[in-house]
Amino acid sequence: MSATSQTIILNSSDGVDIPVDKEVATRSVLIRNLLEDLGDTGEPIPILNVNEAVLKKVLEWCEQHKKDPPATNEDDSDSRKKTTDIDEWDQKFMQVDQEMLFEIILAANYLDIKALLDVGCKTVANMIKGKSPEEIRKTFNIQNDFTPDEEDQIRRENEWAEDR
Amino acid sequence: MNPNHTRADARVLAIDELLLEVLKRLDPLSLLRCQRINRRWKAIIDTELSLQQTLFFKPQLISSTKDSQGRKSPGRLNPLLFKAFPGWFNSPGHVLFVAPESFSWIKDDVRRDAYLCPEASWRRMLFCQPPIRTVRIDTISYVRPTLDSSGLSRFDPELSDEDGIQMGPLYDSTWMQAVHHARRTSRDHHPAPRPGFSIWWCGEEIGIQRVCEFYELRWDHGHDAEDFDNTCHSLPKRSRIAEKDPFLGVLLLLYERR
Repeated sequence: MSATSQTIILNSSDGVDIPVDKEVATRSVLIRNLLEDLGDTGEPIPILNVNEAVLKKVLEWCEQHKKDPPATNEDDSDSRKKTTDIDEWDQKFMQVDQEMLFEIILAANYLDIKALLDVGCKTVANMIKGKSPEEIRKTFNIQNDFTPDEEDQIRRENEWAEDR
Repeated sequence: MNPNHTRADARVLAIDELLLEVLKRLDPLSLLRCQRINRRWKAIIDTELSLQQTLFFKPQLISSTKDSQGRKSPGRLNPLLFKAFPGWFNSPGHVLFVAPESFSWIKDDVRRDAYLCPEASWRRMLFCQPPIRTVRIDTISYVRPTLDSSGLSRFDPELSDEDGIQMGPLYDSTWMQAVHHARRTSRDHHPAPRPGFSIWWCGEEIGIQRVCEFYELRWDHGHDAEDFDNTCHSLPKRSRIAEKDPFLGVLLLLYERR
């Protein structure tokens, strides 16, 4: 068989060995670079910042998307970011609790998986849409550090856009 | 240091780069609201050029909207202004008769105050991206009920701004023209004309062209020119609204008298 079916072992931050197809794992630019730098020693690769539950979830996404064409420069353009359409499989995949969603985003950022980071950020953007500032703060547990006057000034500037 | 003490959402949103990635995926209305979250969110929205462009506060370069074959893609209209100021955003070839009631905000005191507040952010917004640098405002008066060449009078002031025309100056100039023109034609013609005006703007370099027409800014035929002139002159004293916005004052007055 070809080299694409080769298995490597990832070691999660909580010390669990996870065997995975090299083709799947190298959706992560970090892992791809590590393999290139270290050579294929057969030793488990430590993934310091991602625990087993999150790593397995991320690898599930990589498995589904292993045949996707690699990201091009055009994928980075702002026009693509504008659309918050998410494909059906990814939408289902992102139906997790809020903690897991943000853990996936942190892992995608750390492992350098741009397309997964994109889906995660789109999912968060969709959670923000249609919410008032108060609701957004509550959803993400954010402290308001404006003085009442400062906040009122911004509210006055933009009140016109609020359709009632 | 165990990062798991903090919720993952807080950890993600505390990283400027990741917060920015989320904000870049928002529409203009959501971004306007996000300015109110806290100081850090506001600072990021204020300083990041691409977000300012999404909000139509900063111009987007024409070259950045070319597709892979180098063709210019059509401009993008400001969806918030499109909704709030319907008359200014007609499709070419469609003459829309805009009556005062087409402005959803005009008859509700609270909403009108929100619009006419001098700091209202719509005033700073470009009405399309990439921006249009010159707008011509044609004023056409239908002096007679039937249109003929002698019944048309027009003068074409231009509005231009190197960084793109913002809605505030365009709005002000349009009403200024409308009132000025209504006064002029009501003086020159008997019986009093039906003043109307159109805004004609076009951005040839990005393939946008819009014509709109306010036909319902109509003076009652029963009143003479002097009456109209006096009305316009005395308007600023007549109401709180007219004080803030004399043009809107005229419009409301006409609306009430219909």
